Amino acid sequence: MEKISNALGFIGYQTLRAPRYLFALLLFTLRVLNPRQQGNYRLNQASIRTLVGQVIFSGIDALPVVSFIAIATGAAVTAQIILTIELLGDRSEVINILVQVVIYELSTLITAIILIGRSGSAITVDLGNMKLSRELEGLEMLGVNLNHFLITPRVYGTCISQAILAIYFAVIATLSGVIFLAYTQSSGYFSYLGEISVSLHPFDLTVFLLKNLLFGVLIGTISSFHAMKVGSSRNELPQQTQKAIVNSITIIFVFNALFLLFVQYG
Amino acid sequence: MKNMHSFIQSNRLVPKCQNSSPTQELSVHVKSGDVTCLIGTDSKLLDSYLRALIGVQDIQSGTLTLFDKDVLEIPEREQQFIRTKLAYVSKEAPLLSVLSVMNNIVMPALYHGTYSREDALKEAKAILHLLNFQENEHALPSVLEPIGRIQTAIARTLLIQPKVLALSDPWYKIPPHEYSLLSPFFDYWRGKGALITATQNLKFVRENATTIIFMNQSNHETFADWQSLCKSKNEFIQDYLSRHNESTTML
Repeated sequence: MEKISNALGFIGYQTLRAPRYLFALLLFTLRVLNPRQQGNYRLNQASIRTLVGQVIFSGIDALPVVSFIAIATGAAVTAQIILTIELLGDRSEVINILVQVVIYELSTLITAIILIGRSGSAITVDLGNMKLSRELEGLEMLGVNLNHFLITPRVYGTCISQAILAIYFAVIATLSGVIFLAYTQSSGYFSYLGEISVSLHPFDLTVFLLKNLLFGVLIGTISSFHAMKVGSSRNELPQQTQKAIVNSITIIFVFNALFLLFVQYG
Repeated sequence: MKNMHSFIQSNRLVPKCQNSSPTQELSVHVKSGDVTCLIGTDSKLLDSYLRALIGVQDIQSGTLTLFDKDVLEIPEREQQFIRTKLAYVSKEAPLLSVLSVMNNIVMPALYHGTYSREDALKEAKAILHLLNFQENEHALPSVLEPIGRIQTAIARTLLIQPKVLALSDPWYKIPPHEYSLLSPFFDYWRGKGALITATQNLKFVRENATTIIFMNQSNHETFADWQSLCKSKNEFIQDYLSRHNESTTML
């Protein structure tokens, strides 16, 4: 009887684990994004420095790797899409698929994965180490709100970086694919650039921007959330870092699918 | 009865501790210029009472008023303001390991808007000079000597302009021959605010304390000066002083 009740308890616990985690994450995100922390709507001087530092690390320092991957994606994906779809359909279909797949989807997802790998893990390790060595306690004793000083600027930083990097990736991936084709096949492929830019609908661009801003917020908050869960054992740091990376990727892909469904059928 | 200018007033205060059950009810009144020293053999117990006195540890029983306000009635938003006036530095003096000494010192002041960055840097340099800081102010905390760490931690609190400094045994990791390096700071602070410390540095207590509280698990006594402490017939105090090679006949 005890084994049956233990088994039922285990099943119940596992079933509720995901909703409990998502609810805790939601509360954490709302607290981080609360505009009126510490009785103030504006970030203070110290938080602004943290924000600028995060944008530099997550955004500017990531430009080389994003550029390489975007150029590779352009040659591998953009060029192949154009060549393949041209055989099966007409020009408008090629442009439609290029815009939907490369610009709106691939750029968002690949940029998010790069950001998670570079910045998400770094945020978790950085904040987790501070928590482990009780550095955060020293700050709290001086009246510093940790959300306002450490976490909110990092989340804003990843949010801004994701949006800018996704746009940059989309531009480079499209350009590099077209240039690759123009160089290897025919210079007539340059005409795709004008047609692609004309087919970018303002509504779709707005959804694209909002999606990337949301993903940036999610990456920042999930990384910070797991960093704050680090307790007093050094073993917890790599465990929470791994959870931050895996959960970030999972949630980003699920949200991406939900966004698609909402835009298609909403 | 509340003193209108008191910083801290406790009445039969007992802190709530996770791993022990303190029983001593502490009544103390701290005002500007006071140097209150908690001494005893159990440093964890002393630290618990110190933290309870400044409102960072929960209270099991008794009352505590900070700046004439009952600590249980202070709203959360005001708690942060109180923390800037009642600054606490723990024994380990934790600093942000990713920031240099100078950035560690100015960050809380920039956060609270006490100074602009340029003014904060100037003020930080002046405080480090006062503290006789000998190391590289652009170094990371990991390469600092223990004295450098505590000097940086104290400088960080001074920049937010507190009225009360609560230091948990700042001499804890410093070798005895370096104790005097902090003396100019304590001379400077005497006229500025109040100091509460839990310490084993009896030389400092002897030379500076205006209130001495001896505390262990079974009893506690409060003394107005070192002479009264030495004259105490309490065997725990006698034993404690002799263990620290302090003569009980000193006047």
